[in-house]
Amino acid sequence: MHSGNSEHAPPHPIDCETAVRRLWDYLDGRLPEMTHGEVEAHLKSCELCPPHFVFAFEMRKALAASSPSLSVGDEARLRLRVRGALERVTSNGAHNADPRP
Amino acid sequence: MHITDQSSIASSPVPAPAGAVSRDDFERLTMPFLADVARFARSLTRDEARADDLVQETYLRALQGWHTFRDDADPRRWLFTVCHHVFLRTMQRDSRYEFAPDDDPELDSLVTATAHWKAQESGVAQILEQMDLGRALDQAIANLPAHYRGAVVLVDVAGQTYEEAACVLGIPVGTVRSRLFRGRRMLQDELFAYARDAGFETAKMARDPKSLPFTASKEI
Repeated sequence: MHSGNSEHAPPHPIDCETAVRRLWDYLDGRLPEMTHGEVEAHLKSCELCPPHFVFAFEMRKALAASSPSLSVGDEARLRLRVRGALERVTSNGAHNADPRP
Repeated sequence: MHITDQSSIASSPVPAPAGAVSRDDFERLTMPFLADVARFARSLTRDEARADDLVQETYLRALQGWHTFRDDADPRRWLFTVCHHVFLRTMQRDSRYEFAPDDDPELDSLVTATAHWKAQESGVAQILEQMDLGRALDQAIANLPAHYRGAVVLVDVAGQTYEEAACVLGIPVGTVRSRLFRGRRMLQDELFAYARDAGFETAKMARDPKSLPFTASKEI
């Protein structure tokens, strides 16, 4: 939502509690420009708050990297299994009680 | 535990069997997204066997509801919605299921930072630098209650926007935000617990609580 540095008046100073209340909104880029600038200015001047933001940022980055892999073989096997189940259900007209292959 | 072992979902009859032609149409439209659905299912379940069951049940349910699909709808998003519904229904029988309240998301941010402050003092916050996070995250996500897990997986793992996740989950954007913030807070707690179990806690003296620059006045 914010769009980079503002060239307007310096941001209104905020305390640590206000800054960390905005932690996730700040990292997700969902704060209005002025509010985003307030957090950014606080992080530049505060020694205590940046580690919390860094940890949260790193945790979110690790989550993004944790997307499960799916091998070509796994996908092919699953495709066959799903197609078989769909074929069974359309030919029988009902769910198979045990759709495992 | 297989989804189909315990569920009335898999054994319920299909009211109106789809014909061969519509199944071809269905497969043409939905099969290109099978890998995406499979990755989403694996993200939700963190278990390959359960994920495969979930994918199969998703496609069977989607075929059953094929007549409700609108031509202008996004089939990938529709499959994700069906997949999440099936996942929630199985989790409702799980003892870890709990309804997600729509609390104050900013308070969750505050509590997250407070927990990190304490973890810094005990040494467990170094987990991200010193441990392979893969297993820790698998376990942490698997321990998340279902409603929070959906929001975290869609936004943080699958990289969807709040708005896209809201469409998949069928909830307002504000509810995605509150579930996401609570879910992240719980994930962080799980990671710290994992680190403590792995012996990462050090014997540092606790910092004077008065030096904490903020307080979670209402623990939630």
